[in-house]
Amino acid sequence: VIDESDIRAFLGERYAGLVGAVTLACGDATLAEDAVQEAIVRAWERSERDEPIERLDAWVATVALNLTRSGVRRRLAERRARKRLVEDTPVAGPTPDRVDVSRALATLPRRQRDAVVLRYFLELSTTETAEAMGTSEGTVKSQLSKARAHLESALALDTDEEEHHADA
Amino acid sequence: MPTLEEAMRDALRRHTPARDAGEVFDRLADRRRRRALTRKLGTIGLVVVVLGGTVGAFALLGHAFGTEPQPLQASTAGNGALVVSLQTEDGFALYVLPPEKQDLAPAASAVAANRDSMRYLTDAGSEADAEPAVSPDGTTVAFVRHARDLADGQGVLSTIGIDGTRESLVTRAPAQAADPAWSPDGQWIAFGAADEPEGRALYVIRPDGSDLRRVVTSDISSNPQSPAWSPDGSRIVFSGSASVDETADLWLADADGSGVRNLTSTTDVDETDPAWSPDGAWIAYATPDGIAQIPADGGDAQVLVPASGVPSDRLPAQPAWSPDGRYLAFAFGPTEPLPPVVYVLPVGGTTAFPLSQGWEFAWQPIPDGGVAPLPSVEHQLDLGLGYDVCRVSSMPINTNGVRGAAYVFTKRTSNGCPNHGEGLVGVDVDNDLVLDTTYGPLDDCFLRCEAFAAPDVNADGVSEIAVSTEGADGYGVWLFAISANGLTIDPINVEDPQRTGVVLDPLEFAWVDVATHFAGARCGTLDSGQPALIIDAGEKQGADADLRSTSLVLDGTTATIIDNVHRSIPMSEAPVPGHELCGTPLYNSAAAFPESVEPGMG
Repeated sequence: VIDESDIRAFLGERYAGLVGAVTLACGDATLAEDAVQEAIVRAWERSERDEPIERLDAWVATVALNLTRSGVRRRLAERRARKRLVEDTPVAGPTPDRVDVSRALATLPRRQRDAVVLRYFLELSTTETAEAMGTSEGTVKSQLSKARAHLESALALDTDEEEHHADA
Repeated sequence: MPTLEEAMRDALRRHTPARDAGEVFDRLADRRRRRALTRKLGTIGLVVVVLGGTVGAFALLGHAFGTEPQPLQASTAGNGALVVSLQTEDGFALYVLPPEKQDLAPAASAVAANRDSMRYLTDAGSEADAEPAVSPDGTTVAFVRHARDLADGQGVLSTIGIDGTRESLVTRAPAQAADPAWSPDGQWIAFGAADEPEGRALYVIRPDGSDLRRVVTSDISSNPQSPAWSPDGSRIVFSGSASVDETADLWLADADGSGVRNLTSTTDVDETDPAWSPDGAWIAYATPDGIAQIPADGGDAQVLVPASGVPSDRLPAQPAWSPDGRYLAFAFGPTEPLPPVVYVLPVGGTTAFPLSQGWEFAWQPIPDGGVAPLPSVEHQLDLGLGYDVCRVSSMPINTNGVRGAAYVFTKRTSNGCPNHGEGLVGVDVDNDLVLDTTYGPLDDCFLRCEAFAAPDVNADGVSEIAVSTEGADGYGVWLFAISANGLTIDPINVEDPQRTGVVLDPLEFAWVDVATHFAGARCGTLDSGQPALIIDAGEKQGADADLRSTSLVLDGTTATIIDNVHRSIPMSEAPVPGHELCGTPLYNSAAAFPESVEPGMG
């Protein structure tokens, strides 16, 4: 059972990073922080009902990512979708100062985006990422591989360190 | 050139806020407390808590009436269900308290009915549905749907059948709609809303959204609000102040807004929330002194429910007569944060008693000699799937000349109808009321998801299915393709030849921020004569508009962007804010199944 001291410790260690990761995934800091707080409260309540949560950070991240996609929060996604559809074709050859990870993430399919947040931003293992997403390790690896290829292409980045996260 | 890891680390660092864990903990604890309280109030034990909390003020209501109200003549209508706006864990939703659950026998032990006794009428979702008003024939509830995250309370006028079907948007403009009131003949809905360039006005509109008329402008009364009709439909009473620095009075006007005159003319007291008695003789209203009434033709006011000693922000408010004229109900919630309760004062009596939880409420009239529908069990159907479905909307489709229907629905569970978030799309190729294929759940559907249009965009003889979703301040549309044999449905994905390798989500376009943006989609043709879907989306920028037109060609499950034209045009030439696709208005789909299964497209 998660008690008050667990929550306080979690907030000190993981809260800001979670807000940052969810912000990158959804593109809105206010929305992200609201979603992370809501997710932590739900985890807290869940624990009090004797429904254990194995990896609190993974659970909170997954629920928060879902929350950012729901409800009134939808309108933000709608706005982005519309913008994406009508925005000008990007000029080729971005320079480092134009690298925009959040924007590139926004063009990823949802499951790939979730996998990137859990695996790379929250530094979960592939196994933990798969558990959090309710899918298999193989699927996570394939999602991450596609996501990496897309992000590197979209951001015009070096691929030197790819092997570090090849997860093979 | 950074690596992906470096770019991600850098991005995460820049987006990670500095936060004090102690402050965050306090906010979490507060959020948890609010959630727990709301949950508790929504379930058992609530009534006792409410009565305990209100006992002091309740005593005031029960024993301090100093005047004798005048009994009313018998009305020709009966009392049906009570529609109330209730706070839930997710927001405010409309609930219905059926007549058989209304305890109208005054007793010291009376308790306010809670959600357990009610049937749920509109989605709690993440919006607030409030300010219900029931049509004179008892069939339809007008209400205001608020986007909860908008500080200025953007409300839109909507209607829903009292049996839970036929939900529809009446109008989005003018903005900030409030206080709907049906005319006695059911032909009009009066409401207050924003008045350009500033201030508010009273409007009337047909329930189908046509024939909007502004009847009382802010020139006549600053901030006119809360219109109520006289029983004969000839006049409207409303509250408003003569100027911004004066208190609110009650005003009378002819139904067309002419002949405005001040009814109360007090200089230092607000009079608000007028309600015309069914016999036409009295107008009840709220004042800091309590719930009062005044003869409709003017005269001396009487306080019916004194409120001395009640804090000014907790005063009883929103008086409403029961359709049969035997009760005057009002909302009262003296103990924050416990929920307000609808109290009932028998006309001629001196003791009010609690009837139901709720703040904004309306009573369903049962017309004399007529039979108004009573709230039924939730919509449920068997479409040959082995389970009942609910939240059904449908549109006619055409598959190579065979007429069928597309549906959007949710799977009914033992707990009732789930959120639209679990909506599925289904196709019945030949209209035999058995679905031939389904797709879903549609995880992008949240507040509402409906079948909306089924044009044959690419003229290949098979309809595409457009599914509309409603968000807080805009609409989204997803397009799905039906295979040539009608046996599979798949989302249509967008391919942009200019952006090789970019993975795009299924074709989704949206009409957002209707105040500043305009958009529409049309079925057109390219110069080559090829059929295309053209999405016009723009943003108002002063006298000009920034317009982008994206042309897509559909082939199977792929929509390829052919052209993307960006230009500035005078605002006067901008497309009308569009809520339609290829000529089909948004939310044209009739949710009332199976009547909506019309002959397919020719």
